[in-house]
Amino acid sequence: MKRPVLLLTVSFCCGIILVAHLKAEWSLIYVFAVLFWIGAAFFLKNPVGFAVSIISLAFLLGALFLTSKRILPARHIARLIPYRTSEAYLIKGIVVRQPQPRGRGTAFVLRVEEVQGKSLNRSSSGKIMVYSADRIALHYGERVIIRGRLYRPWGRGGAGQYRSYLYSNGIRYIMSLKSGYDISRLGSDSGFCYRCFTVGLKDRLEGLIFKYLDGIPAGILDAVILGQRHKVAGFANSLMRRSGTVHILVVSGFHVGLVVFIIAVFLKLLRVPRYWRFVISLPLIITYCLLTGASNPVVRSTVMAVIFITAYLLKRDPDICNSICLAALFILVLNPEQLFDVGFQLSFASVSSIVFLYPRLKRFLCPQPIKAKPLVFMIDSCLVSVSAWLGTCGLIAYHFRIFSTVAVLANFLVVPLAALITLAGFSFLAAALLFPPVAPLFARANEVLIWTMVSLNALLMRIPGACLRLPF
Amino acid sequence: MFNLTQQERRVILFLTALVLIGSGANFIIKMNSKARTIPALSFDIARLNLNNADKDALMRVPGIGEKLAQRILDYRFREGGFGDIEELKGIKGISGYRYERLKDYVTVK
Repeated sequence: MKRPVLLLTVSFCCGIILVAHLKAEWSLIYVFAVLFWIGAAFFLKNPVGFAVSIISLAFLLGALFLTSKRILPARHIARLIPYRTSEAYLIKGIVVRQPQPRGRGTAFVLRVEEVQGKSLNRSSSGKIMVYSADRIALHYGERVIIRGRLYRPWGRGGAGQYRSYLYSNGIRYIMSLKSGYDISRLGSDSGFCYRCFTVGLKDRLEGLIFKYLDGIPAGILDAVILGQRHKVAGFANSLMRRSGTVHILVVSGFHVGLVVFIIAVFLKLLRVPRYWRFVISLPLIITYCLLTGASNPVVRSTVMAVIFITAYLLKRDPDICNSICLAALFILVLNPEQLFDVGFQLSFASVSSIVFLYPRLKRFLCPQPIKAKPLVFMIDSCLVSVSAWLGTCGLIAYHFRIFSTVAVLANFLVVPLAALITLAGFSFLAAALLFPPVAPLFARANEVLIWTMVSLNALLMRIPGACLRLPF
Repeated sequence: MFNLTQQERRVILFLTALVLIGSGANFIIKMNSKARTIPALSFDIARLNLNNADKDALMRVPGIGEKLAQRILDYRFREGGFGDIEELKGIKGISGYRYERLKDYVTVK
């Protein structure tokens, strides 16, 4: 079999889905997993028996990982503090996600170390989401003590989805702080130092974007280059969501590919040999992944890029299907709950449908090779958009209750423009860092491109029936 | 089915054995983890010192608006500073209820 990872990943996912819908005892799954491991050892010399045992073991490992993830230790904050409580608590912990502005306040994730209430004074674990009514200049890795009331995320519809999102990220409680005086800062000596470096770099680059560009284009460029979507103007976000081009605002494989391309071109200009160009680009794309917050699409494309580059360095033939599956397995082993995350599903559905549908659609629609290069480019762009749209339209309709009829046309027009914006954005940042006097010129060029993209989306949305709201 | 050599199969078996042992150990650690009692957390650092806070800083405390902040500053100027937090009760607009809400946010040094 040419693609063994495909079968193992599918089996692993089936195990996760089964346990998500059926209650199963951890110990029972573990016993079966050990039995199948013994079976695999027994069938070591029998290829078929070994394959069947390993696929079954992958299924059980999927189930085991999810069950294990959902078991909370006795010292977990969700087990220490009762569901209904109006008591104020003091919590000591470390900021594990870079604080983001939220309305007039700040939101951040805290990894809990100690909890103190009226009748409670214990060491603890787990993560909580913290909302402060004030803007607080906190940083990743800072150790703080916060004071406030805890509540569990609850609600139906949108709020229910948000609760699922928090639970899948291991967050069981939310704490609201009335003001910045509810935070006591103890120092910033904690946190992964490489991550601290990337967070610092991201803050510096973000500062440059907002220094040279106007508010709305700056927010969009910040999202396109650094993945910070919370600063995108509401109307631009809504336009792009309805036209089916919102993926431009999320750092994805498309951006990682461009980053690899930019690094390769830059190193080529410096006459660096091909082999060393790939070696140098490996740590740089991992840095970019951390810089943009390591969301699912970025992790997927970074893992795929690492596999492709490693295959080149080892002189092996990379298989795109195996690399997609390996990327999915990498994310799911770290957190099996991500299988139910919308971003994960859309990212893998779009890339899988491009890999699977695009060559078939091309063979079906253009059986004869076309020589005119501009025409080939146009047909290829259109077919990639159609493939991605076919792969994701069902999921988008299910999760967001909308169906965009202009998505293919919008992507056909906007994706090349987005590629230009990304390239122009990186050029602007390089100019702002290395030669600031030319940065305003690059910034103006970026603004023109971004306003063109927004105007194109607005124009498409004026077409009657461009975006249909689904009744169910 | 999988075109694997016997050596590759042994490697897979070894890695899956590690995963199984690790999962088992992780489960045992989770089930036996205990929350130990800790010394009380001190929260004085974040409290606002009434003797050197400016108007903006006072207005960021929940329950203190522009007028009340000005009255606190006037009181401090008039009396030469606060000797105790309870002196807040002597300021017009700070009732017993409001004092109970404010006392956790301020300190006197």
